[in-house]
Amino acid sequence: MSNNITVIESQFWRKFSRIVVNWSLARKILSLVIFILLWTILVQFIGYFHQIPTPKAVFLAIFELPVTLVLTNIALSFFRVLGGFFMGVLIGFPMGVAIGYSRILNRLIFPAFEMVRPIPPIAWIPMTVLFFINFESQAIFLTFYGAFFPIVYNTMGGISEVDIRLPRAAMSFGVGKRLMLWKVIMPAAMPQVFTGMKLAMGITWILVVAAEMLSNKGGMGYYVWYNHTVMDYPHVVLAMGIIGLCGAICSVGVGLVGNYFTRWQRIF
Amino acid sequence: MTNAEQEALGLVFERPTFLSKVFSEKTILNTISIVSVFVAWALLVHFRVYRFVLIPSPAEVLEYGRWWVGTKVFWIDTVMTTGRVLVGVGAAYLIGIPLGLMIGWRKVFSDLTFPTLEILRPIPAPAYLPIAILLLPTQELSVAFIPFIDAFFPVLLNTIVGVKLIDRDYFRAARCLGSSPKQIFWHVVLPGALPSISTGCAIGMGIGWMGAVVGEMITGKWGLGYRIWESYILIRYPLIIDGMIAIGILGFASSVLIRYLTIRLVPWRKAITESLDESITK
Amino acid sequence: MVTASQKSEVVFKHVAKVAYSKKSHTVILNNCSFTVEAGKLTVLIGPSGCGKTTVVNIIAGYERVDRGEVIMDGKPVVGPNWERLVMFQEMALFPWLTCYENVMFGPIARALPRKEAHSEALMLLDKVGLGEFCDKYPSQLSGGMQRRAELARALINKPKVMLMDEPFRGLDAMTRKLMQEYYLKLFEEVRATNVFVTSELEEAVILADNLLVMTNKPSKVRKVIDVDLPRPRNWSMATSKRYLEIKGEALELLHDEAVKASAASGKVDVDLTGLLRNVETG
Repeated sequence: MSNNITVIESQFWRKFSRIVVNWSLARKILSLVIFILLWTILVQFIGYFHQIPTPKAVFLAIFELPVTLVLTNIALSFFRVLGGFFMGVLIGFPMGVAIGYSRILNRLIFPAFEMVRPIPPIAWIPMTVLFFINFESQAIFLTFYGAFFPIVYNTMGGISEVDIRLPRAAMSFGVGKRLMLWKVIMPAAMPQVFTGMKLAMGITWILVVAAEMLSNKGGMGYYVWYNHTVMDYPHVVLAMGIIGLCGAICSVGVGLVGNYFTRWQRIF
Repeated sequence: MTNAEQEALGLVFERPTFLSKVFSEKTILNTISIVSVFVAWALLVHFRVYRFVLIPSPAEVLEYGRWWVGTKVFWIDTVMTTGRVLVGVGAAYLIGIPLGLMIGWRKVFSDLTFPTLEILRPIPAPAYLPIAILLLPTQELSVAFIPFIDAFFPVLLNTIVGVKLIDRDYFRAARCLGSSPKQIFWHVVLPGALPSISTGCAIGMGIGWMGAVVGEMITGKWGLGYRIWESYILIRYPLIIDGMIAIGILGFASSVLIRYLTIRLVPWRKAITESLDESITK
Repeated sequence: MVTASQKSEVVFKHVAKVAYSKKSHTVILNNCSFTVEAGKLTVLIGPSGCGKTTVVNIIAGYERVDRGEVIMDGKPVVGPNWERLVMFQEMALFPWLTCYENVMFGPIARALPRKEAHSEALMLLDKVGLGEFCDKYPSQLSGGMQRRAELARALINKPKVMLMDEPFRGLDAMTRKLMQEYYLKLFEEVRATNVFVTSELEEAVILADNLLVMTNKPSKVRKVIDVDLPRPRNWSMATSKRYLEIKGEALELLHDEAVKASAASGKVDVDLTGLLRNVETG
């Protein structure tokens, strides 16, 4: 008798959960459908927007992509992004640790940073063009600058905000000053450090695209602008999508590395 | 504790010397920090280290700056740039906050709009420029579109997080008291999310300023960004740095303003920075 | 199980401690003298904010005294080490290490023989009931389990003085009772010197050998009550005459201190007998 009831209950539950899951997922798919529909309607029926490509046009443009050119541009953009980002990490991370850990270094370095930080990276472009000989070094400096501040500040924050009871407990257990940084303070600061890195990655992409749009040295940003100048808008939209995809891949990448280093943390 | 009590207890108090030493040590180090930037700059230019020969010295920058601030062009540029940023960031606030509130509050709404937004989010703001030019009637607005996109997503995400962080008990209490959904929105959802919203606004203003200059450099005739670019072409190099400093000061001032406003408008706010950062940078 | 070297005595001699803030200072302890007897469970109880945590920090070596001496076994306490370990109010397990790694932290940091430490760690974890949870991270454990893991982490080092700073605070009543019983059993088995800080009077009396009642700031020990209830203790003693006597005595002292504290803060005070006291305001 009781067996029958459990069977009935589980059937009901399975049906019920399928329905619940279905609704949410369905709405999400509906969201994209609505977006595409709205897009098509706006473009086709409102004369003012007639220059914007329809989703169909964008889709068809995929097949007309000059593959090698696009791949080259993607590679160029990636190179600039990753170059600047890793430089930002290599210089910014130790710097952040140093000024988070040492009060003296903090007072010596932080005010200078605070003074320079408000100047947006884009404003540096003419200066970099002046100072650096070729575009690659200009771009990498720019992305480095963009990645630098989030990484330094978040690392500094993470290090200085470590719960003081943790190093105290470690001291009681016999950890000396030398090992304290490595064994206690850095692991504790990791979540905040990776927050900074994700932020930096996002900013890096914005800067690379902007720099490429302003110059003619290739890269996806340049590709977007080029298609704009030749009025090939389906390819413009396609290029935007590709850039977005690349940026998302990078962010996810940083996120995955970060998850490894903070696997002890449960974010509810 | 009065002085008499102190003496009775046998304890003598003076600000311990090490504290006063630290205090002045702090100011000394801070000053060294700021001054050394200028000193290093001046020295690098003076001794023509590497390509620093092309870069103007602090003195030149200062001199040029004084002249520039007196010109009409400077003020027009400043107003234009500030205007574009404020329009863009303001639009981000006006659209992002209500949208975020709805998305955070109602799952149905979230399901319908969020996937689209998540797809659009990774696209860097400058890449929108061609589309912005097509979409918007004037070139001014297209330039303002970039700060808009830059600021929109932080504001949106912070608002969503803000709603989600509201203790569910507030909703239950409101329902117990017989509130309609509209009342719940105005009296629970909106005030409850305000602290996070204010953080989002501050972040949005900061990022918005970053994007302000992009559009001006690419298209445009007025504005600080354009002026910087033009100075490069006209070989008026000190003006580049003056422009950079001007933008920096304005950006800093607007961030300070936003922070001040949010503290005034949201006095009960508590610092909830962690979770916000994580959700912004997902 | 306990060697003679594990029974340590801590003596406070005329200790004064001041806390400095930006604009003013507070005397937390003044002329505070007491002895923590070897091999006994000494409980510190007092009004909130009276510096009990400061006393713990001083004994542990995290803070230094401004005046007076802290002597352990004839030698002054200069800094933190394994001889005096603390269990804090809120979890202080290293969140990036598993339970097992947390427990092994002390022995590894002190370069003790790994094999013995390993078997001891597993034994201790079993003893505190976390045998199957060795490889879990603290964030995956419940509050009670985290406390027990911290206990294991401390015990493996066989400290001479165990310092417990309101360790069972925030646990639900049932878990708290269980933890108290567990702790009593542990103490009675090992008989190392323990200092326990709490604000719960009933907990204090049932645990203590010596009950130190603290005054307000600036604090000193108001009275040492010798709790001569028989060991091993259990909660059934809570109804005994002696227990209630001790509890009553301590309660009166604490109430007196609380009344003084609220008078000192300038509020108009009405004591329990309904007499109005005029105090200075502000």
